[in-house]
Amino acid sequence: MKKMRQALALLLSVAMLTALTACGGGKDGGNTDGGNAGDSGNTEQSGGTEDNSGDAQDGGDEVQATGTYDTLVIGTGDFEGVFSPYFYSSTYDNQVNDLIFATVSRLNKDGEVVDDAGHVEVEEVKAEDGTTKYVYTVSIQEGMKFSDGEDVTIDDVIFSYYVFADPTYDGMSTFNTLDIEGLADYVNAQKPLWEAISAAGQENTDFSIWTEDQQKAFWEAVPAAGASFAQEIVDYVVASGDVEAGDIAAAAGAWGFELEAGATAEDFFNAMVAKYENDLVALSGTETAGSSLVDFMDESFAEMVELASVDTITGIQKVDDYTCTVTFNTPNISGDKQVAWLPIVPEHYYGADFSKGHLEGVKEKNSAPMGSGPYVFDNYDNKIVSLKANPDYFKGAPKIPNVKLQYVADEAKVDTLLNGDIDITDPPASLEIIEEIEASSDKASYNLVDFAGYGYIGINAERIPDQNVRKGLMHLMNRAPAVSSYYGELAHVIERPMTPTLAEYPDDAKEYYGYDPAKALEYFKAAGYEEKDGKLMKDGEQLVVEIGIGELSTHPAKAILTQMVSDMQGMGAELVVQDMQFSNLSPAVTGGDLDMWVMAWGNSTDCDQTQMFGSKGGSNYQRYYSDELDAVLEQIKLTVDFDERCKLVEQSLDMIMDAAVYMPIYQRSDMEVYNAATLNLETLPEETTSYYNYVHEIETLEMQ
Amino acid sequence: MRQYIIKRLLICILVLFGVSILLYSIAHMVPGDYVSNITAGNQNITPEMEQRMREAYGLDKGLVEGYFSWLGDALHGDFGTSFVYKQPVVEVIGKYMPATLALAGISMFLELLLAIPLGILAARRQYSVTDYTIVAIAIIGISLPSFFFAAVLKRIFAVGLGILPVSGMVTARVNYTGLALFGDLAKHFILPITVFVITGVGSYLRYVRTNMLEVLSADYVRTARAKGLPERKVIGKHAFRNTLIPIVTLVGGMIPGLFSGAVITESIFALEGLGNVALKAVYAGDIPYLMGFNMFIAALTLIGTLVSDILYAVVDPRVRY
Repeated sequence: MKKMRQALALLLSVAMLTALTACGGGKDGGNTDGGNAGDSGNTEQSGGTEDNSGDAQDGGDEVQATGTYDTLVIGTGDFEGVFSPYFYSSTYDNQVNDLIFATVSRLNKDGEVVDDAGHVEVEEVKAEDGTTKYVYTVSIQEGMKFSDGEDVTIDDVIFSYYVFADPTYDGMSTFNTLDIEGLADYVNAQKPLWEAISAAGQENTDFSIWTEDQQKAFWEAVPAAGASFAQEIVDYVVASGDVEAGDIAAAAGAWGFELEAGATAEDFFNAMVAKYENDLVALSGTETAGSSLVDFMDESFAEMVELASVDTITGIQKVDDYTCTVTFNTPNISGDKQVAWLPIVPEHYYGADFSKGHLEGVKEKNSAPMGSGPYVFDNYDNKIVSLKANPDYFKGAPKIPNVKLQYVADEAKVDTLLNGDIDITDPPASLEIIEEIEASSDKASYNLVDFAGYGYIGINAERIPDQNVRKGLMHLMNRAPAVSSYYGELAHVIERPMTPTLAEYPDDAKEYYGYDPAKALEYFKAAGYEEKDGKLMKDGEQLVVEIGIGELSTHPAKAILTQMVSDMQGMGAELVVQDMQFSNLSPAVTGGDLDMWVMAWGNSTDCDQTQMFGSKGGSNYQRYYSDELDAVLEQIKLTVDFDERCKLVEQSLDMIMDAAVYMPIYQRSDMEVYNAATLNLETLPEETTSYYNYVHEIETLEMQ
Repeated sequence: MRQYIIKRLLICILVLFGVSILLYSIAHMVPGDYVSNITAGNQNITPEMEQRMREAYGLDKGLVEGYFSWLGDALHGDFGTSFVYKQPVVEVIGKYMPATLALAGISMFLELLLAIPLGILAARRQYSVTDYTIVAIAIIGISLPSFFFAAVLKRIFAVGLGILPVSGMVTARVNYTGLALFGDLAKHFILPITVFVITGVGSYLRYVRTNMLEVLSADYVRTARAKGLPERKVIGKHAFRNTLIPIVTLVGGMIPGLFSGAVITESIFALEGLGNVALKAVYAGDIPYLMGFNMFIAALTLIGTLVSDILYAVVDPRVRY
């Protein structure tokens, strides 16, 4: 027994020691392991990249350094490792994509579309049925090659359209919502069975997709399901307290349907069917109190069925090997960006296993990108992405043989650059950083770039329905001192809720609601609030507003809120400030749980604001719905003439300001810092904007 | 003994099952899902797109349905695909583990290497200058916030003297291989490990010291001394082996710590470790990753306690199962 115990002791101690020494050796063991694991995990990747470099060498001329340094190191944010133009969600992953993929068109300094590896133009065409179509002709240069040596053809561009339009696509692109001819049919060729049967109607005799029995069973199930559906609405209305239980006619009345007293749930449902002219799908989607009509039926009716095999998008046509056309049904002010500001992705590499509904093969290449851009992907390890120059790049081989993008924490970016470890980086702009760089101007220089976005305070018009109250709140926002004390020269106050980097932004817009507590009080009084015992009361309730903000202590809007709190206290009202983590703030705002909130928009490239301000917009968090505004926003999207569009944009922005739901605060600057000791600063672009920087001219950038 | 181990293992499985239910409910209840996180700030997302993405990521399922579909896959060894990294969870953990393991492993080894002899030394010379000095340094270490200490070290060694890198794991500009790569990695690990060891060694040291003091006042030590044994033998054989008993349990409890990562240290030094990845997963609402990773840590914790319980019986003959 004793021996056994000793043996066990020895065994376990040895185990523990090996564990510890393994960790001890882990520095090299661990990391070489890491490297190997990474490699073996992506055998195709390493195979692919080896091929690339092999072909690059076959190409004959490996790029040679022009000076002492042969590697450009870019200090950037944290990667997620999804280096795919289709599926990335981090801007830093996309920064890598920008170097690997050439695009048909790109944006110039002012955010306008200009030629890159190709060209796009639009013309209006009268279709046979008399409607006007908008045909974009997309062409690419001849003779370009991907980094594995294969030719670039228009099929590669068309391939991207089909990936973006795929019904199972789950990336960031909004391509599949465009009004391209035949696109909707392609995307929505699958429907739940019940929607298909109900759309076909009771008299349908085409039983290719479902059987006659299924159709019969469905229509037999409708009355019972409809009664349950209507009953749910009745229960909902009753639960909200306005109607007595059992009084279906009254409940239907509250829901907007006139029924005779003593009506049944079935009657209620029939009334709805009549209103929607037998369109059960629209009925179920609009009138629901929570469940869909199909929830009350057999589960099999909810299954998806393939309606017809739509395998092509009729609006996308190949003309020749280097040209294709994309036909829009309606004019689209950003149509050229949508069809041409896209990376050219090799179909033979990404699309080997691609067919409609099957993006698995495309996703497999997420960690092994290949394109025809200035650089070729080598590997991603230790938070560093390594790229090699592409000698066959169509604008000429880059002058710097290697580019590496390394993750550096924001706080460490400037120190790391001054230390000489990185050459270009983008720290969050601050006055201290500018001071630090100016103190060592022999080592670094910087550029300030207007950020394509803005910060704002939003008001939920459903929670604060009285426009006078909202206007009163607007007059309490003292923006200028807050912004200048926080940012100094690095940001300026803006007057309309739109990114000022956009050409359509009305630069001469005047302040709409100046800081004026007396005026605010006037508005509150106009809304019916009165001072009672030092409190601003209406119908026995004090004016209390709740505002959500992320990381208050370091937020630029902190001073605005502090002043609002004290001003409102002075009037006898109350502003409750909720300091929240962004991941909590965001759902509170989208869910409509806050009266007011402070957030920011970013990365705007066009002036279409329907998603934010339109009644059906997905980002209409302020819940302000106006048909008049919808009409103007819709008109903006269709107005191709620039001056006309500017006028409409100005009009829409004034309407939004007048509704008092959005107070724009500031537009800040981003910063790019360059290492003066390693870079040849004269080879940087003359002007850098939020749409155009050194990446666009990387092939001519030189190092010392 | 064998029966005991089998029984414990069976209990472990039950516990893991319970843990998985708890973890899934918590992960599911966290406000803000992955889709709303990635679409926030993007003006062009339509509600239909968001809905389609929710379906694609399986976020449209309810708590119970979601849990059982996760459990079903997990029992087949499939922990799903991380939302953020778009790779299988197991691969993501495997990819980021080496750095964390190296950092935590080396640090813990050094901590024990320092804590045991210094703790014994302090105990042997209780109330002497040596004792006070050691204990004072230990307490300073415990009290130092790691982010502050890291910033100070960076200022001095990286920015001021310029002899060590500010952050990162390797020097990007140069393509090191073999031994040079190892040296480069080592250089980048010096500061993080220093932070780890100095802020962590104190608690172990005090643990060793207290235990040693207790043992030193025990009857058998007095007997050993009375027998006329040399001090070296009294300490090394009679006292030290008895202080080992609590240390063994301590070490068992350290096993999950080897993998869970150090969020603050990793992010300050931009190391590619599990702590950072886990934090990001929490912010992003990456449920598959959180589930996979937390289950992994839960399993390690259970194994850790089991190992220390077994070791307990091994080092202490009075304990029998």
